[in-house]
Amino acid sequence: MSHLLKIENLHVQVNDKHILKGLSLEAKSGEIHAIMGPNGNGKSTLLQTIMGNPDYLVSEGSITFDGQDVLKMRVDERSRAGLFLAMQYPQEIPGVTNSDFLRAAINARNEKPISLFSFIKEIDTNIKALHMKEDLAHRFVNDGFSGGEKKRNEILQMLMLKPSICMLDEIDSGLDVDAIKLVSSAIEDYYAKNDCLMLVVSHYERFFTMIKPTHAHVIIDGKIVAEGDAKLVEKIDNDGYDWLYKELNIHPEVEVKPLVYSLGSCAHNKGLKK
Amino acid sequence: MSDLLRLNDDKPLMIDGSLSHDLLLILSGKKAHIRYNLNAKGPWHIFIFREKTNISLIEEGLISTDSEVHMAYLDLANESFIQESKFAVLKGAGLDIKSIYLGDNNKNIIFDISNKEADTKVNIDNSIVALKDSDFNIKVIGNIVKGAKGAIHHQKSRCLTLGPLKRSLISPILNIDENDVEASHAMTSGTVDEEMLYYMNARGLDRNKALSLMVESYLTYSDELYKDFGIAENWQKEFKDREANLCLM
Repeated sequence: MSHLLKIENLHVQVNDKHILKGLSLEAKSGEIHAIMGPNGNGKSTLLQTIMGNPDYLVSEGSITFDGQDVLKMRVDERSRAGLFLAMQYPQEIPGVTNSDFLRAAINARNEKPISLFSFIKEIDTNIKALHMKEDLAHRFVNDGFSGGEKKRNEILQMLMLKPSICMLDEIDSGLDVDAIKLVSSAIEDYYAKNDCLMLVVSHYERFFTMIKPTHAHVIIDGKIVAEGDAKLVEKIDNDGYDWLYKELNIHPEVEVKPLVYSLGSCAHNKGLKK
Repeated sequence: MSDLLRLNDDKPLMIDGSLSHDLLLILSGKKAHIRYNLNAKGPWHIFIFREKTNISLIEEGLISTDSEVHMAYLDLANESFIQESKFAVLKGAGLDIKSIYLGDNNKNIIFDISNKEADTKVNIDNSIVALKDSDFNIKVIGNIVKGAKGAIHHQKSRCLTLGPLKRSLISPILNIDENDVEASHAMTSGTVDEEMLYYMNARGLDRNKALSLMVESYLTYSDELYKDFGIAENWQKEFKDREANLCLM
């Protein structure tokens, strides 16, 4: 069954700041969409909004998945419907083992609970594929994990939960070169064997040479300003975003830093320096 | 397997070295007053379980020279509970206390444990989950008295409060009056982290299931505890059922 994700005129606010300003996007099964753009322009906001993070307030627009109104669904319902977000900063859950967490998550989406034997077999296979430590299943979720281990654990969860929409938010950051190869190979393998679509946020063309996007989008100031395919990713890697600013006559917001006066090691009798 | 003793009246109980080494004490009355004089060298395992009544438990104990005593407290009832446990540990003896308090009513717990002499070891580990409208106070007082050289005293309490009306007060207190000792106290208390909850929701767990998993994480060592204390299978089942009922929110 083919899946369709449709986002229309999406406006999103975070803490009263307008981040997404009328973003539209359509993606279907069998596609990998690279989401690029300078920092702070709305890439992660887009993924978090699709997943339903309560901190992100949708003021206008719609998101539908196979015709269902995603914005009316709770976060857990979105997940069970097939949405998955591999987070940039995965949460630690001390006291809850990966094994208990994943079994509960799998059972939440199936009428019949997964047998212990099938679960162990599957998690062991995936742990090996991702070259993770054998005791991972018995460790607490992300507790005491290195940055790289957390990112691999996100992919492990993806492989176990088998989503239809895989959203990967800078999954390559914090991974060394070998780990990036391993993770991208696991993602590619999952993509090849499953009827899914992927939305991938990354700053690095290198990552996109491994998972080969079919579509690319550049988000600047909360809107998609350029679209293309893998060639667009390559161009951005070579030339940055300046050519886009010029071509589209965009004036990026420059962060105004407050003027700092130093009082030196002792303010007494020194007054303010200019 | 541990022997079973049910306390369902208010008469004081004296436990000394002549009784069994593995004991399951069921508190069924309104008031329990227990005195211990544990002088056997073999390890003692005393597991105290409160059944469904409002109750106050008063304990006083002497852990004699070179004894090894393991105490466990399991409270899975919603009714209010008052507990005052005072133990003195003598030369070369060790006292290990593990407790699980889970429920939705007021609980006031005081542990007052003294390393009275040299080379004594005390370890206290409390896990508390305050459900619904509970008000939880626990005070853990550790005393390392003058002359208790080489004493070891560690205490740890952690409390999870669920919902807006819950309150927990944990007071870890250490009074150290001797040099050359090893001691620590730690406490954590807090409610559910919304970001953690979002992460669990994003994996398909609804709020109740996510909270249940977090509560269960506070009971992680309960299985091990039942095994270590030789609790009979029918009682283990009873405890697990009660845990599961309380975890269903």
